[in-house]
Amino acid sequence: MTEYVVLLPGDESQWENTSQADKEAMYAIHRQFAQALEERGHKVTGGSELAHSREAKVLRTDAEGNHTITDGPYAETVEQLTGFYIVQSDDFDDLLDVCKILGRGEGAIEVRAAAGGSAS
Amino acid sequence: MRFLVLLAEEDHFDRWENADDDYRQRCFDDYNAFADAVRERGSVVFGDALGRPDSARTIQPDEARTVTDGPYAETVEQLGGFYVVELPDQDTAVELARLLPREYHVEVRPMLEVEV
Repeated sequence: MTEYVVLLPGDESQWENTSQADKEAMYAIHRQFAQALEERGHKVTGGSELAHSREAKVLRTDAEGNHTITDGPYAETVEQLTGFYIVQSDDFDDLLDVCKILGRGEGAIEVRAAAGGSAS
Repeated sequence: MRFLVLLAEEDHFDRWENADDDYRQRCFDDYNAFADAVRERGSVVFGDALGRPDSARTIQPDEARTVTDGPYAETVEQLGGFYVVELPDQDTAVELARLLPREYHVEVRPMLEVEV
């Protein structure tokens, strides 16, 4: 089995202004996604919704070893990472197909293989 | 609390492929020091290195759900790996992130742990 990360970038300000009812509808799509993964032999091993990128801290270190810590994400992109899944799968193409379920609510979805060495 | 720790670096994958053994060993030592320090105050839930950006597939936000090669955002810094850690607070997570290889931009972001 290969471990994949499913990255969910999106428009954070839009999500912040989404009503609770609409958020529930979105979570229902995520439940369908989880169910389809299980039915088709993929295994979710981790994942979470993320806090707004303004709550992120970035640590940078210069050549002399001095650290600076700044607020916000490391890359200022229009679409910020809003959540992710970690999924074990032997079928990348089918995994991509199942991810299309999320596409009804999420924007772009990036799926990338991990190297396979868990640090835990 | 859980935090996502993102490790990003310019030209990360080319640099890593061309790195000598001493450099790689220093990085591995740093990863181990970080993981050990996290375990003293919490736990490492998960951690892994990622494949190259061009190995990613992105499902586009269009009606046809088009699948394209590559990541969702072309950034100068490439995401090379990540951890999920369980720690008391963000300050602790940022403090321990100092142990990671100094070449990387390290982003520490709270996870919401929403039950869906």
